[in-house]
Amino acid sequence: MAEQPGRRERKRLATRQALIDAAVELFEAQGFDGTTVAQIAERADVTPRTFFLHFASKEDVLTGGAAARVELVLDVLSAPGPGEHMVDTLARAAHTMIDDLPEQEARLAWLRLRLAAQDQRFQASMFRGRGAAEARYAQALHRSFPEEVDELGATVSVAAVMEAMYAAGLVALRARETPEGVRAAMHRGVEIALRGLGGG
Amino acid sequence: MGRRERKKLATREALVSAALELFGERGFDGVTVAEIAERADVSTRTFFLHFPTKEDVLAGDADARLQIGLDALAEHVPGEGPEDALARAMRLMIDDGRPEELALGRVRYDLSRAHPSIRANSVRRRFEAEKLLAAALRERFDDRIDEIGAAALVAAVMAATYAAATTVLASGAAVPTIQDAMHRAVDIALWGKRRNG
Repeated sequence: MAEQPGRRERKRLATRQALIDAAVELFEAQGFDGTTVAQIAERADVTPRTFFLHFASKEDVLTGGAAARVELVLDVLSAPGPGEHMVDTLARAAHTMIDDLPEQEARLAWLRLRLAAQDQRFQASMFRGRGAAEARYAQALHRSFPEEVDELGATVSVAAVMEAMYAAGLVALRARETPEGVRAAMHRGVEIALRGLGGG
Repeated sequence: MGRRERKKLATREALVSAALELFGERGFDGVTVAEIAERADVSTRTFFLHFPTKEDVLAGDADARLQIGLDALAEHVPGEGPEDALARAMRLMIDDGRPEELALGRVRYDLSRAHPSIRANSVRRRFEAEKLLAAALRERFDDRIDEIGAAALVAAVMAATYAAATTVLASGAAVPTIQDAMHRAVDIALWGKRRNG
């Protein structure tokens, strides 16, 4: 009766991807406010009910994949390489996250940026999500390096690296760089913060 | 300071204290701008000369503090690089807070947890401040730092400082501890290695 977990997971991911593709196309064509969940579902050829199995809301599609990326970063922070310095583990986590960004991320980020410019609350809620993720990163870093860094030190280091990365990406995004250009800027942002923190 | 400037500051402080009293009595949502103005014994129009919104009262002297940082970055100190100048600007801003201003930070933190509009205002202010500081840093060191470099450096230091302040506020610690933590954040973000030996 039951499908193989592997196959089921693959199908689930394909549906999720189709929903993100459909949402990006519709948001770009008719704006975020002008797009309904029903339209996104229809373009992805699924029911609205299926949409809600994947995303809590339209907003959630815009930040889609963020939850999985948080787990990826936590995995890196929780398993430092042998002899690896705290700051280098942190940088590796950030670089891994950048490399993992999906192809549409630059388009999604551009849409988020435009929406945030119009809607302060959306901007604040996005920012809050980032803060919550950074708090979890700091805990993981402190647990991995209890001798090297206390809680405040971990919190401060994580914030510096992550926000430098986002700020650099934002400059590239505003300059309408290619997805590759945005990624390169984010990597550079990590390196700049890292130099300050005394790594690299 | 001239008489006019002194009067202006006194009115501003009266508005902030009136607002804090009223927020304490009735909560942030239960208070109107007209009521704050009335308690401070000024017109609503005067309120808006000082603060564009009710949320901005909670930011206190943040604009003046930012100006201190921008002025510091414009200053030419011999031998200083971008990191040194930014550290100096950050320290001046951190030390500028009067006790009332620092207490305001505590109120803002507590209220912002339940009020998205206050959070939104803080985020907007922070991004705006980062943009202006990065532009000032570039203007001062245009041969040494590009737009991405300036944005990343400013974001790293500001994020570190905010993260430190938030951590201490969340723990309920006293005001001097907050300033100490913010100074430590500047040290960590800019001089990590040198400090740790």
